[in-house]
Amino acid sequence: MMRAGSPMAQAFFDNGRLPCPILDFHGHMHEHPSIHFAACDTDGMLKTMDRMGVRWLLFTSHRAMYDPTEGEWFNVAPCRRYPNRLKAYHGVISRYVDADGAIKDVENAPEVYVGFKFLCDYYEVRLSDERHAPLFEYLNATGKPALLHTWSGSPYNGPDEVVKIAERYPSVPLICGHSFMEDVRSGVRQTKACPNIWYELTAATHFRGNVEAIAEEAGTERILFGTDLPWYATSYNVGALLGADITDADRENIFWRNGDRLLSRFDWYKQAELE
Amino acid sequence: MQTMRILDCNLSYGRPIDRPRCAVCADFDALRAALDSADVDGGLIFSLSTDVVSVMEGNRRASADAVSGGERFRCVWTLTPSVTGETPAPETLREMLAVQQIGAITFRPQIGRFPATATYVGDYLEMAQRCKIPVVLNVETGITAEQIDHLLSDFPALTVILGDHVELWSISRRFYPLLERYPNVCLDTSSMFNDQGVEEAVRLFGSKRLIFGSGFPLRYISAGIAYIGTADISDEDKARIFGENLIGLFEGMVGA
Repeated sequence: MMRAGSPMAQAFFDNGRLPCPILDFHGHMHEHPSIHFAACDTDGMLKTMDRMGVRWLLFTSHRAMYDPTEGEWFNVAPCRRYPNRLKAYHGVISRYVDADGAIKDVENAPEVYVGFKFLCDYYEVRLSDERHAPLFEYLNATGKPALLHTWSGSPYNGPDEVVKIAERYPSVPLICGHSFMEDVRSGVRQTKACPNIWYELTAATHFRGNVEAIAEEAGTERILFGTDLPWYATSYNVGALLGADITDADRENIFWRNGDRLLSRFDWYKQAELE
Repeated sequence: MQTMRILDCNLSYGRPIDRPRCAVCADFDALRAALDSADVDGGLIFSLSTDVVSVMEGNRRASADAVSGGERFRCVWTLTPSVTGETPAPETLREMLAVQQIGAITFRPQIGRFPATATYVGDYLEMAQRCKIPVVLNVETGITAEQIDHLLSDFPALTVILGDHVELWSISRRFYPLLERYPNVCLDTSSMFNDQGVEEAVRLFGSKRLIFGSGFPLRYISAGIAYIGTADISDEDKARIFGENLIGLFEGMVGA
């Protein structure tokens, strides 16, 4: 199945696994009020990661995105249980930002946190809102990444807002979750001049042509693999990439090489990969 | 993954005005070439001329292309309320099934501007239930889950291929109760992509209730294949989902 022209696809469809590791930069975990997930607990997600050869999953628990009182615990506990497989983005609930507290959380638990996750559309607060400034300043000083929910027509996390933040905080790796869905090509075109912007594929893989559009506009060296696990199965996104009109070398960039390049600046990653 | 026959219940072609060019197969030849390169054997085809030109033109084209494609293709015919005479009366339609290579019927109430209720399409559904003709009901065409439930309460033995490309994340809560209640309702897997969703559906309803669909060319066909092909279910289950179930529906049609 799907073997024509791609040894990587051939290997995957023969063995059910890629011949390279996967670094997944966009996951979630735990229950959600509007959706039934077949497997959203930590062990269920690890099972999928093991089956599909996912080396690392960077995630934010749904609880950490919606519950400002005790949500972060649902980031902390899974990472402490699987310290060499999971890393969390600290949730930024824009209407309840406690910047000092959030920075302290991240500083005090390097074994848990990789950066921050911004979900501005949901809270109807712009990325460039002053409430977010201390968080971006911290990320800019430390070089830690921010995962942004990005959508093309959004006044909160559309291309204009992302460029504003990218120019203001040039040392923050800004991972554009969903790569400006709805109009991916235009979103990438408007933002690609900023070298600290990365494009992540969650949900973009749902529509044929999006992967190719990002690759044409920005090259595959800036694309990161992501799934929104458990929203999308890892296999679905892997399959989409294997069917996209790009080369196996491009696919390797996306599945792991780019992510490895991005994470290699962090001690926790280097140490874990050495073990 | 074992090599197995793949038939796809959700294939379309043509030039819709509201899609980017990259997500289009301009004609049946382009669709067939894409399927060949993806090792997909055939399936159920829908001509988007239905939405761009007319139901009559879409049906005519889909049948002509299915016939030209040989036995591996069947087509979906779109129907409007029979009283207007635009589509054949139910018994006439039944007699046309084999010659026109019709594998399923459907309604597109949003574009067609009529409610998909028993008053409007009940005569077709009565015939479809009696003759076991699959009815494709996809929420993206403007029919709601509530309307589907009402239709099924009127025609509880109807064979349905159920799909939803709109409310992507609530398939299980909205459709599983329909699968639980109505024994001939099947799920088009192009509506499924959440993690371990296939495994759960097979556990709850058995693999005979799932029909492989990709949504190609709007979706990457390889994504749907990978989703089913790597699921933690048996090879027998995968073979059913990938093709045997759809063939079974075709073979079960009375008079086709």
